[in-house]
Order: sequence, then structure tokens, then C-alpha cells
Amino acid sequence: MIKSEQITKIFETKSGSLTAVNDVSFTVRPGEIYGLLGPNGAGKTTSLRMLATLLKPTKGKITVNGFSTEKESGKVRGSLGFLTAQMKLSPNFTPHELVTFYGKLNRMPKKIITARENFLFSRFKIDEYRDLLIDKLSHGNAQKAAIAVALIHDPKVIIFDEPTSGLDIMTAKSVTDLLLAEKTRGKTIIISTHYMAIAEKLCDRIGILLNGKLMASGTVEELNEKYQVNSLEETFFKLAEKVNIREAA
Amino acid sequence: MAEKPKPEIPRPRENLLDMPDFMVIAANELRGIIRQKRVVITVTLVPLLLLPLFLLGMGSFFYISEQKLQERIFNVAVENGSHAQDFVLYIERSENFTIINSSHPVQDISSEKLELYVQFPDNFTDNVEDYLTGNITISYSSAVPASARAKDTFINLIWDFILDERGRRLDQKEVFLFSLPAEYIRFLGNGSLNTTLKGILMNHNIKLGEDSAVTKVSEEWWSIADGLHAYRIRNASGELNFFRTIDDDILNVVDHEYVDTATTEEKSGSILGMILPYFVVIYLMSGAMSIGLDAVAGEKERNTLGTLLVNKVARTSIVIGKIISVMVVSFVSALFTIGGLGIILTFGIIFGGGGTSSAFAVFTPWVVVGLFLILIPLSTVLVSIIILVGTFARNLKEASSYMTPVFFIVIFLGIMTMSINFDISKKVYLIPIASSVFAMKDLLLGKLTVSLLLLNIIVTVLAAAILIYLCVKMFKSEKILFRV
Repeated sequence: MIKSEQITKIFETKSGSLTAVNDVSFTVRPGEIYGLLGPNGAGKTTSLRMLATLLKPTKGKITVNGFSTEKESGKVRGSLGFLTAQMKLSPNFTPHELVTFYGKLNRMPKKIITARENFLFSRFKIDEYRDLLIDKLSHGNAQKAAIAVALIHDPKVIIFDEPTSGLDIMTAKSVTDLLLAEKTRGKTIIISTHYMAIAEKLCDRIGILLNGKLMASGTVEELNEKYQVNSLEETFFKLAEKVNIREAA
Repeated sequence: MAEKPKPEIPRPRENLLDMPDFMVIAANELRGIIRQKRVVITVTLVPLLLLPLFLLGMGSFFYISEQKLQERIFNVAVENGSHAQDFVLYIERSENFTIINSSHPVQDISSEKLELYVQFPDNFTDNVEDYLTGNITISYSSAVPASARAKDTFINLIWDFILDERGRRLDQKEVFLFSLPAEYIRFLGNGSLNTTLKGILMNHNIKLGEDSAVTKVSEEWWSIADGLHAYRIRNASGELNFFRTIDDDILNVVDHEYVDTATTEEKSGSILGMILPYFVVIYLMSGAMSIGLDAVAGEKERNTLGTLLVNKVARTSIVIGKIISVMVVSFVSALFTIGGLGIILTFGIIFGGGGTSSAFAVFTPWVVVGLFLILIPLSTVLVSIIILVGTFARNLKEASSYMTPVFFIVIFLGIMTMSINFDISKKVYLIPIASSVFAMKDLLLGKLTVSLLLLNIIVTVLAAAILIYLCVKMFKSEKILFRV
């Protein structure tokens, strides 16, 4: 389970303070996919990075699987699989070497590593590329290998930042299929996306982030009802308009 | 039939003042570079300030080194001094030498208790007084810098004795000078004439030519010189030549021979001690630099570090793991450097050939163990510096530019060991890196004590621990690790 309580992230820049995430609270339960939806610069990646302990919240508290991200960051990282489109795998290694390496870091027995590797590689159909250098793989296959690395230790919590960004339709489908399968296995999953269709299809509940603020949170139906609209897209634009009007005022 | 494509006509520049494309590209590239303020500072201000500082440091170092040498008083043991009392007086009066007793002079030279061992034969004084040649045997060690320097200084003392004795002899053997017609006496030289000789010539009404200190030699002089044998007598103020009408023995006051007491191993140790620390440090650094910077700054640039950071492994483990891997590479590089230098010395590829066949004999078990004990903490320090710089830098380019001044310092330390020829204060063992460089040198010269080795290890390990702590601290700082 992920619990974010009033988290705020302020970056100090040369031109002053920049509030990337402002007082955001949400909870993601096991067996649920929560989607953070928002335009570029809304604070999605920063929020996910705080969940993954890469960044510390300026204010607020986050617990992942009951562990505090600040006080028990090692335990938090041990229980999650994190992937972002910006994160790449070392080009001088093969997918097999990388999953083995990360499996070892997670203190997994060799047999379990091999079993997980076989499962993930066959699921993503990258069996035949397991001994090719990452450098030699296509973008899609490299991304699949990165997902395999992130999930090698079968984490209870999965955090994917823009998981289908830049992927072809087939690869994107294999990623969404995997997330749905993991959800049925009781995993706690949070993703960020700016694709409405992905959010609608994949997520049980959605949080809409605009200018660092969580403007709304709930199922698609709840949001539609609350904002008297017929689709997630309409909800999003209604909220975006609201923010712009407020900012202008 | 398909129409043949027309050749593309280059689009004319709309404005003749428009820059050509390559200039537009160059200007854009430069704009990109200028935006990276840190890189700009590193390529402009750092060399502007660092180079003068570097040269000032080098200059000061060599000045201090020379001053120390000039002030140095060398210990000399004399054998049979009672048969060379006049000469011994010269040693006693010298500001550079002091006479001490030694029952084992060769060992004492090796252990640096003594710099020179001077032996006189029983007939030294008799020969000198009889206008014959007195012999001196000077034992020294080419492997001990102070001893080699003492040997060079001692020759000045011999010349002082020779010149004074020549004056005395010429004064007493005036007949030799009279036999030369006055008009043929010419003196050449840049400096003033030896006052003793000048006095002698004046006393005997031998006129000095107008050109007694000329530098331009007349044709006439050369014709005379061809027919006569000219002596060249060196004195402190320069050189002078005068025509010979006297016997060789009058001028050959003292004949000296050198005995180098250094063993082949000591000679090899001395050469290795001079060059090995320099090369080892340079190779430890350069071997580690490219991969060390790439291990963090390169990974940041390629976005591959994040995958490791979101794993449950502690940041301390990541830092130490990276340091160890880079250390292994730099250590291997250093070992191959030592091997390469050993081969060079063995086959005499440098130093004009004639290598020491037993160059590898220097690497006794104690030296090998000592080298390992010095190199492991040293490479930890150097690699930690590299990792620290790599962590701080945003990308590989920035990291490389930061490393330039660090490399300067390391080269400076290396040059110090190559050129240093006096006993440096043991306080240098308190300075990390310098401590290891001098420990290596002392080890190869057979001068490293266990206490100094321990001091070196403690200082270097402490420095390494501080650097690793700083690396971990930086690795935990999101401001540094994720700054863009």
C-alpha cells in the first residue's frame, strides 16, 4: 500500500523557489492501479520520485508498504519496482546480466532469479535477445528489458512513470497487459501518464495533477459525476480551465 | 520518360552580411559552451590562476631544494689524514664538510650516516711537496643523492687545493716561467686572472699583454698556440690559458679517483625510487580517471544511474562498489607500470643503455609488501577523489574539466619526488598522497621504517575514509545527484 500525506516538494533554484508538488495526498491499495494524470510539468514525475525515495518531500509523509520513505528508504526500495522513461540500462550489459545483477542485489536465490528471468523474458518475448548487449536492442526491447529488471524481485509495489511513452503499439500493449496481470496478483500499482486513453483503460482510480496540486481523485465514473461530464478528457479540461482562471485572477 | 532531375542550385544568401553555415554552426556551438559556466571557468580562470601558482610552487620548490643543498654539511671520513695534513686542513676549513670517524665507511655511506670516505696514501704530502702528484681515493654512493652531491662538491675543494698549490709551485719554480719570452705570454679568459699567477708574472717583469682578458684571439696568437702546447687551468672565476714552458708534474698537484660503493640493487633502487613514484601516481590517476568519471558522471549523463539508485542497496554500498571496481583497474595499471619500468631498467632502454640486470632484484619481499601497503590506500584516495568529482559534476565534460587542476597537483607531487635530492622533512608523511609518494621513494631506497610506513597508512586511510564519507554524502544529496 502507498500512502501519501500532504506531500510538498519545493526546489530551490537561482530564480527562487519552485513548488513542484503542493500538498498532495492519496492512497493506493493492493490490487489497485492508481493513475496520476497531468500535463508535462504538473508534478507527476516528482511525486513518483518521492515515492521511490529518489527525492525527499519538503513537507508531508509517505509510507510504502508501511515503511517511511525518509526513515526506511532501503526497505521501501526493496519492496518496489520503479521505472521511468528517462531511466536507461547500462549499454554494455545484456538483459540476462542485468536481471541477474539486480536479482543478486535483492538477495534472491539463483534458482528464483532464473525462474523470474524466464517468466519475464518470455512474457515480453525478449528471450532471443537475452544475451545481446542493451546497446544492440531496439528501443522497445530495451524498454522491455528495463521493465524486467525493475520487476525481477517481484516487488509488491510497482511505480511506472509514463510506462508506454515512446513505445510502439505492440510493446505498449504488452506493458499494459503486464500491469493488469500484476494487479490481479494483488500488487499496488501507481503510474503516471498524460494519455487519457491509457488512464481510462488501465487505472482503477485517477488523480489529476495540475500545477503541482492534486485537483481531483477518484474513479472515472466518480469524476464524471462530480464534474458533470461524460469523459475523463472533459474532466481534465474542465479542471485545467479552472486552474487557469484562478491563476489569471 | 521520366524527367531528369535538375541539379540543386545552392540558395543564395539573402543578405551578404549573413554568416556562412559553418560560422553559424560554430557560433551556436560556442554559445552552448559559454552557457556552461563551470566549464568556462575551468578552461579560463583555472589555468590563469593555476598555472602561475603551479610554476610558482615549482620555482619555490627548486629554490628551497637548491638552498638546502648549499647549506648542507656533508660528513666525510678520512683515512690516513696524518699523511695529508695540508689537505685535511682544507676539509676542516670548508663550510660544506665536516670530518667524522667511521669504522665501517661503506656501510655508513649506504645508511646515510656518512657521505664521503676519502683515502690518502702514505706518500701524499711527500709527493705534493716534491712537485709530484698526490693521489686521493674518494668513495661515495651514486644511489644516495646526498653522497653523490657531496662528491660533486668535494671536487671544488680539490681544485682550491690544486690552484693554491700550483701558485706555490710556480712561485718556487720561477725558472719555468722565465724561459718563455715575455711577448708570447697571452692570457685568455672571461674572468679575472688568477691573482697568484698574475703576481708571479708581475714580480718577474713579465709584461701582461693588453689583451690579458680578451675574448677575441689574434691570428698571431693561434700561430704560436699551434707550435706550443696550451694548458687550460680552471679557477673559480672562469678559465685561463697560458703557454706551457713548464713540466706537467708541476701542474698535476692532485690526482683523484672515485669509487662508487653502491651495489647494483642500490643503484636500481635509486633510479626506481626517483621515477617509479611519479609514474605510478600518474598511471594510478590516469588509469582510474576515464572509468572513474564515467562510473558516476557518465552514468548520470546516460541516465543509467537511476536504475541502481531505486534498488534497495544502500548508497554507501554503491559508492564503495564503484570505488573498488575503479581501484582494481587503476591498481592493475599501476602494477603494469612497475613491471614496465622494471623491464626498462633491466634492458637499459633509458639512461643511455647499460641497464641493471638485476632491476627486479630491488623488489624484495619487503618492498613488494610495502608497495602493496602503500598503493592500496593511495589508489583508494585517488579513486575517491575521482568519484567525488564525478558525483559532483553534472556530466562527463564537466567532470573532466574539474579533474584538470587535480591532475596538476598530482603531477607536481610526482615531479617533486623525481627532482628532490635532499632529506625532506618527515612532516611530509602527514600530507595525503605526498606521504605515499615519499613512502614509495623511501621504500625503494631502503630508507622506509616500519613507523613511517604505519604513519603513511594511517594518514592515507584517514584521508580515504573522509573522501569516501564525502562521496556517500554527495550520493545521498538529491541536490547534487539530480541537479541538471
